[in-house]
Amino acid sequence: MTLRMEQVLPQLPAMVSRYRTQLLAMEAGLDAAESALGRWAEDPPAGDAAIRAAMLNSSEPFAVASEESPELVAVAPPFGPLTVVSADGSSIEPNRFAAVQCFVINTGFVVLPYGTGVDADLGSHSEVGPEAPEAEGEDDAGAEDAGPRGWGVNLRRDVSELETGARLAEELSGRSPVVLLLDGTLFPWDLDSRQVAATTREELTRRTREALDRLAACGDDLSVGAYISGSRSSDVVNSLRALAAGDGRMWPGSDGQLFARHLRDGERTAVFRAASERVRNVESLFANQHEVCFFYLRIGDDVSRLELPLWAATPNKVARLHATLVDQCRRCDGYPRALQEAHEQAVISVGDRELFGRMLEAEALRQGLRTPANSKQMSKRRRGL
Amino acid sequence: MTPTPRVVEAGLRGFACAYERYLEDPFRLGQFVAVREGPCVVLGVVTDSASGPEDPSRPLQPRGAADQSAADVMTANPEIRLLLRTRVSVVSCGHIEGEAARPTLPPMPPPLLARVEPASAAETVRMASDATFLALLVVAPGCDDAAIAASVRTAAEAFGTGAHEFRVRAGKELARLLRAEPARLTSIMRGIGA
Repeated sequence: MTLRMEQVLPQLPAMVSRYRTQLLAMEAGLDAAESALGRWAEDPPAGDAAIRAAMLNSSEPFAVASEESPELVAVAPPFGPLTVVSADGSSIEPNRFAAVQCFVINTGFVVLPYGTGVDADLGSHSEVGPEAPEAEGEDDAGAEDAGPRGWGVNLRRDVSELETGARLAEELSGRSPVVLLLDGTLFPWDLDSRQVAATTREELTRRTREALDRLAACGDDLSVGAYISGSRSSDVVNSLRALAAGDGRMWPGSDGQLFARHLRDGERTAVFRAASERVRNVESLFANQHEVCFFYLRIGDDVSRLELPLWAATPNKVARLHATLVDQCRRCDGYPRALQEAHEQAVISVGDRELFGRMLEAEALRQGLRTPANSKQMSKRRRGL
Repeated sequence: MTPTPRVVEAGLRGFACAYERYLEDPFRLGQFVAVREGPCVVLGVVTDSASGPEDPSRPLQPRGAADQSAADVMTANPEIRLLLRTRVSVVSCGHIEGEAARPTLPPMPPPLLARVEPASAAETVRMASDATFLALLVVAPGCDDAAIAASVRTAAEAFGTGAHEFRVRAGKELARLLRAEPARLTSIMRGIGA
């Protein structure tokens, strides 16, 4: 045992006690935040103006109101016949110790019909890349196994998920109402990461734009939501703090903490519009119709964040998304069934990763390439005394 | 179209085949099946069938309201059927090479991923006519009395009007093979309905 439990365990009580004290202190801040929320709801345009003015030079994310009152609490409407589609991805990062550095992206998808007559489907598709060597981005800051960051594997995976979801939604809309659920944020945030090669970012921005445009073109049949479980975002809390300028009480650390006491099981908040420097940076790559909106949903003790494009924030589409999420989470112990199954289709097991590594090495050898010996890697394999 | 299972484990004495999905009506116990890929046609008798999750780390949870049938629950949870598999165990009972039908082990196992299809009535009659195929079944570890009895009942159907005569021949063959195991013989004969 390398972790010295006799040193660690005595520190735990004080650690938990400090956190508990913080939570108690935050109660007053929650009261203040709720009070600010009420004031915002009395005059949303004036509140928005005050928030924008206060956050003008801030890099922190914040929110402004949508058509709905900021303090709205909505119960889930009835769940109707529709088809839920979802996509999720997994990847094998390039291994700098391999004879050939490459990556694998495996994108899982599901089509789950509920009373629509569409055929259910589960599956995945994989790609190996890059197709051509590209320039690397910034230095990898000493990371040991990161491989060429310039390839933007995570970004490619995010874009592949969005494209897969768009393809399925496009195929099915017109045949039944469709709800597309994505895992994580709506936009692939690495689109503005300087660690990803500029050519890669440009290509993936174009592909993201096309996928979003295809989704928007699906019309009234389609609802879209990007699901972030246990979100730590603080856009609304930051806006409320801006409204309550000068309040010295300890403010809640996340929107989830605020809305956990605002919402009951299955209820959602109002739809808000995201506003921050980073959001603007990435949003500026796309048409205004794709502006990021979001709401929070409570399922059990979990307050999750749902991000959706502005065009998908109409009352009907949001109601369909809300009803679907509540139904999906009830089917799967508090997490959307479609996302869970898409993940299961995407996940690359340890065994598959090892097999891929061996097959890559074998192919490299077949073509006369030898894996360079690396002393650090060898020392990890050879652990004998 | 009826789904076709494929060989997923293969040996000389038997093989296992799996359907791509869960199937409520797979090959039946005692049914004669054929693998027609490879150097010879391998014939076998179904001795077991089981359905469950493809991934053993994800056990099937008992779902559904009190008034829901299995079909209702499947419809309400459309992903489940796609995550289940039906698997069938088969014991080899002979093979056909050219014109010769031999009630003996095949020279090699059927190819993995080969299609497994119902044996035709003609194939069943050729293989079962003298009932000597039963010798392979009675010594097969995975082939219990119920499977042997079911194979005789199934084969008898292929004989049409000659079913009774076939059952008599099968009974005599079983009596010869199991003369040292009267209790087992009785169990199988009861299963045949003789």
